[in-house]
Amino acid sequence: MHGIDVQGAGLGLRRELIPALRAGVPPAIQFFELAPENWIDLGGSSGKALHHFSERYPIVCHGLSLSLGGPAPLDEVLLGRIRRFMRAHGAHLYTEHLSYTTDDGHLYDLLPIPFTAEAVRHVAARIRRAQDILETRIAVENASYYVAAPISQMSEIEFIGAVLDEADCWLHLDVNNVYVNSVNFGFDPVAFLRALPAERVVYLHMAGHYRESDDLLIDTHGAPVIDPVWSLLETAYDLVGVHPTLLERDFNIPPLAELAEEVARIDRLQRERVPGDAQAHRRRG
Amino acid sequence: MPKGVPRARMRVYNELLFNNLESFLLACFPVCRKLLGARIWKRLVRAFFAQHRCRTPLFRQIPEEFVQWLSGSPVEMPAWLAHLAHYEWVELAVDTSPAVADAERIDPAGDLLDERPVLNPASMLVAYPYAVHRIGPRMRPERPDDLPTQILVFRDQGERVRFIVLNPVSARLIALVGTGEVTGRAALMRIAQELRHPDPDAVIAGGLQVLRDLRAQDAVLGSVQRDRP
Repeated sequence: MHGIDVQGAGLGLRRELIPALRAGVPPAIQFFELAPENWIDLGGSSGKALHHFSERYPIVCHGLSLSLGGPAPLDEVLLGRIRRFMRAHGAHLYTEHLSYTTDDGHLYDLLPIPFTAEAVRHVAARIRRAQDILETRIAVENASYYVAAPISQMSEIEFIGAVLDEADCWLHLDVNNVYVNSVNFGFDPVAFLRALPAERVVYLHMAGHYRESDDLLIDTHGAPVIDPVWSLLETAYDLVGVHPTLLERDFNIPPLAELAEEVARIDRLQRERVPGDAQAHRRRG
Repeated sequence: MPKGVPRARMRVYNELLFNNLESFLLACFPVCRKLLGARIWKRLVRAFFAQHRCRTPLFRQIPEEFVQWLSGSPVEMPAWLAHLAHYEWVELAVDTSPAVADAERIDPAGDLLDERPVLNPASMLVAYPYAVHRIGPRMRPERPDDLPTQILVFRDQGERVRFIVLNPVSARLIALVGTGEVTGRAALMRIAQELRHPDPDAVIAGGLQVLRDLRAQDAVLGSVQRDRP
């Protein structure tokens, strides 16, 4: 197996949630995820809070600015800072998006990589270099996107498979992104899950999205998870196995108790599928 | 626009990227946004997006890039805007500064005159040609003031950002003490000389009171620990 210490269900750590989390972390939350680009070299009360939580909970790092598909040289200075940050907080898993966030400067949003053979080589080489610098295997996340590049030579699922093989890295499966893309581009999300290399999946994301129209969903992380995505998570667990799963919420952040209910729902779905653990849970209860 | 791409879908990206960038700026520059009004503010953010290539991968440093870009007068704007934006950014920079003092080296009750006072490292001493702290909907300066407005911005022990508007002597004292190289007395003697003050002892007595007040507010953390024998 892989050397990941994270288990169960987790929540994205955001500054807005710190006062409520300081008052008490709901029991369903077993780890926190954060974007290193928001927390590296952060002092003051938020920096102190991060140390408080990373001393008590496992931390997963989910990057936003590495721009794995970008045209500019890979930011090795940033990777060095991420490595030091991960060591300081005992984090072992780093994931990034299968997308690009730069042209000749930072754009701070996720843009879709054209699905070409050249892009497979480019992205895979950058992932391998990142793995060398971080001295660990990383996971890449299937990204949401809204425009299919006219120059694409293969499907998204073929592209992901080719990158994972050539980079020899893990897959961070974002279930909401599979759903969003399936609506935006009219494919069957379950068939997509079946075609994934299940053995490479180590980590999952759940999130809500915004419905702009019947055939256009925007991956906002600003709403509760909808039922079709919950049922897709169950299908994913059945197809690729139960892996640590995080609830993302970045906008319209509700009270912690509401987020905790969604995290608890992830936790329940996991326990239903891992009999030993579920029994242990019943004994404790 | 790339050929073969639906216009509506490209618009999704236009809006996502602009709104995302704007959200980082709105969080830092509420006063600038309010004074400019929605239309001019949006035009300013669009110009920033179009003209400037951001170098930082860290989101909280986007406002710093905005301030640097604005200081180069890239667009026709009121002369005070770049200074007001800088002042709003300083609050964020001090609030999130990773600088911490080495507590081992500091005697919190130390002598502020005969030892070297330690300025709180999570602080910035800033000077503006306008009274930036008073700029608001009813105070839009038409020309720079005769004297600069000097402000010490620092983070207290409770991690709250505080502002002290300084007179010229206090500002000079903080600048000298901030080098970490002079005792309080040496700094004040120098100021008395610079002022050609007839009564240096009065300058020293007044300066000591200033240093004590700064210490009471956590702007000065104490003095450098004297080496123990």
